[in-house]
Amino acid sequence: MRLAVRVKDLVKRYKNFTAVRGISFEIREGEIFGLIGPNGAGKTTTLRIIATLLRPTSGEVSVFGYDITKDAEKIRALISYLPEEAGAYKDMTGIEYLKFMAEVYGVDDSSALDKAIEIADLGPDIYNKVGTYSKGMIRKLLLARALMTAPKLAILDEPTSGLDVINAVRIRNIIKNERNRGTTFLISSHNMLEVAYLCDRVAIIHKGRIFEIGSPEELMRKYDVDNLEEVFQRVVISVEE
Amino acid sequence: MRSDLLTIIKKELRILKRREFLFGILMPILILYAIGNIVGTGVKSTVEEITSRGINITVICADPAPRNLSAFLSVINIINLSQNEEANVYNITLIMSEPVNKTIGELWKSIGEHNLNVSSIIREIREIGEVFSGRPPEEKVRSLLSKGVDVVIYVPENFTWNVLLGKSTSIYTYYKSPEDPFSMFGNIKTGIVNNFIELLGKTLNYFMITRYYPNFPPNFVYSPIVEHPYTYYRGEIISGSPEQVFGAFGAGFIIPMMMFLLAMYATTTAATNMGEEKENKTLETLLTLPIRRRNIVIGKVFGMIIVATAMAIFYMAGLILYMKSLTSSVSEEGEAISISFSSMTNILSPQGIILLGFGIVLTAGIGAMMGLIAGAFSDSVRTASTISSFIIMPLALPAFFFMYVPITSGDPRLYILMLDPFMDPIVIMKGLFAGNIMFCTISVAYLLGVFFVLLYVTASLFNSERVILGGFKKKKRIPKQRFGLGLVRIKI
Repeated sequence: MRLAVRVKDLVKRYKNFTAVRGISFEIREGEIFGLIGPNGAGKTTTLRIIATLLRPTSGEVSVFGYDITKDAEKIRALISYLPEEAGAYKDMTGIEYLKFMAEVYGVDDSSALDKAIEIADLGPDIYNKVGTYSKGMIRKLLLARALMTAPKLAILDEPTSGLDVINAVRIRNIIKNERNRGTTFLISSHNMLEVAYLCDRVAIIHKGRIFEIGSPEELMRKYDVDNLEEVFQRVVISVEE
Repeated sequence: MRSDLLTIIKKELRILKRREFLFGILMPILILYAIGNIVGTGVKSTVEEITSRGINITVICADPAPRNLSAFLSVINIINLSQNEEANVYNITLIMSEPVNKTIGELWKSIGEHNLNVSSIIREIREIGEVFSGRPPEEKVRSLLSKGVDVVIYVPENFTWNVLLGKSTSIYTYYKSPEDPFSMFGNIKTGIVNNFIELLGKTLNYFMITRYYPNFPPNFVYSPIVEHPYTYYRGEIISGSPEQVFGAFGAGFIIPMMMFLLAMYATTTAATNMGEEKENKTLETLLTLPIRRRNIVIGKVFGMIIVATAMAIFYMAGLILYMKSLTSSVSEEGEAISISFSSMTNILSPQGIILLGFGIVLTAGIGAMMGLIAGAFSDSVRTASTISSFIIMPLALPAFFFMYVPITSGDPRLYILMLDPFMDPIVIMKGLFAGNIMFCTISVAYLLGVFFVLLYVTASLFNSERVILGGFKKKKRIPKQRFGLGLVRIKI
């Protein structure tokens, strides 16, 4: 199967701090891949590098065969990135924001906009200014923005953060549907239930290193536990020891 | 690529629709207009009040010349007879000295043809029959000013004698202080009294000239020269004095002020825009969209140029409104401006005008890019505004230098000022008026160079991760750990 993402020996060093210490993993096309780890593990830095926002200090990263440093513009045309703490332009209405994004991606047909309106599920509020939205409403709008253009790779950092249970379940189902339509997902989440439900494979990252990669079932079997949360706990504790 | 640019420009121009932006533009205009009107109306009503009430002037005439021969009284009498409208605000009370010097009276007999009892354009002249004697007059002045008199004029005893000898002669004026000495309206009354003193001098001229040259027409004496000014400018003769011709272009004030505002708005709007992108967490998404980073920069710069130009134009309109409403001579000012614009546009070269416009756009763009760089190094609107202020102030302030220092297009100081890109539009304007198109072209070429260098720097910055990571963040203060009372740290 074709590789959507290939990360090899990735290192990211800031001024006095190394966030990522030589991680390697691969994401297959059409897969939902989860990157899980405690706070400060290096998840967001890894996602930002794949999303072309940051440059690796060393190592190789490619998306659909394109090198992250040389072909950043080509990669941006294929991906859609939803940061953990993202916002939208407050002086635009929800619908204006979605139209703006459709224009940026050069999507002319109204089906993309209809799809976004459906994902956002904001009802008549879609015609109100983003500045009047709650955190959950903004998150739904941003998810709609990220998925409306059917990207080849969607990088979602804590996709359901700030959403209530009903909306979180709905969004998870939408992600699964979009995967079935051909979108590859790279997801970072603290919610192990979500990761176990959504992801085909997960990587457990801690202190800038990946310690486990595999499907949730494989990892649960390996550690002889009933859920991913326990796997996560065991890996983190063993690293600390 | 083109559609990318248009999309970003459109996105940036949404600022124009913001309530805060409209409020920010309209409020200063309204405030300036209101201040102008308040001041203008205040001045007008004060003048009207003074006109209806009149200025109470008491003349203490210590000149012993007989009243029909006194030079001062003759002057007052001429003002009466001259039907001078300006004089129709003065209520004059005379306190005369007892005439003693009959010899002087004899000498002035021939000019004593004016009679004080004729109907008067001066609102009122009354002689109260009181005789002044003794010096100094301060005691009398205090008493008069405390009883509603606005000004006391003391005419010393040698007044007529000095006039007779052809020597300058003095009068002493004692003004009553306005009720609020810090009010600008208080000085209006003083100004009206000063007009009266000027009128006295002018009339004394008339008095002397008609005395010695009786065939001269009086109007000639009052206004012997009526000027019709023309200005020779680059081979053309233009109607109006240089002040009238060039004043409308605001070479001294409007253009430098507009440049200052334009540079300030372009820089701060761009810096604030970047600060907002960071504060509202929209920048990360924007930078992962399939738009070339260079186009994001260009889109933002063009958006900011349009926004800054709109703001500068609105503010200047407000300033002009203020000045017009203040001077309360709107029609005259407006006419002067239109005359000089129409006459000048025939002379200024079209290439020069295009270069000036191009220079202004480039300067706004340079300011916008400086603002974007400032915003890239900040993490909030507040930090972005602070950094941009540090950048803009030293670069935009030399605009005021042009207001006070005359610099011609050949002056070497102009080349130094040219290095500051915010000054170049003023420099180009000077070249344009001097007819030195080459000079304008060099200045525009320099601006183009700075523009593209900055565009490269800004696009590189946007291509780097610095724009995400920022540079200047407020350091969090970590309180020092204290033990017990915080006086002694004991190691066990």
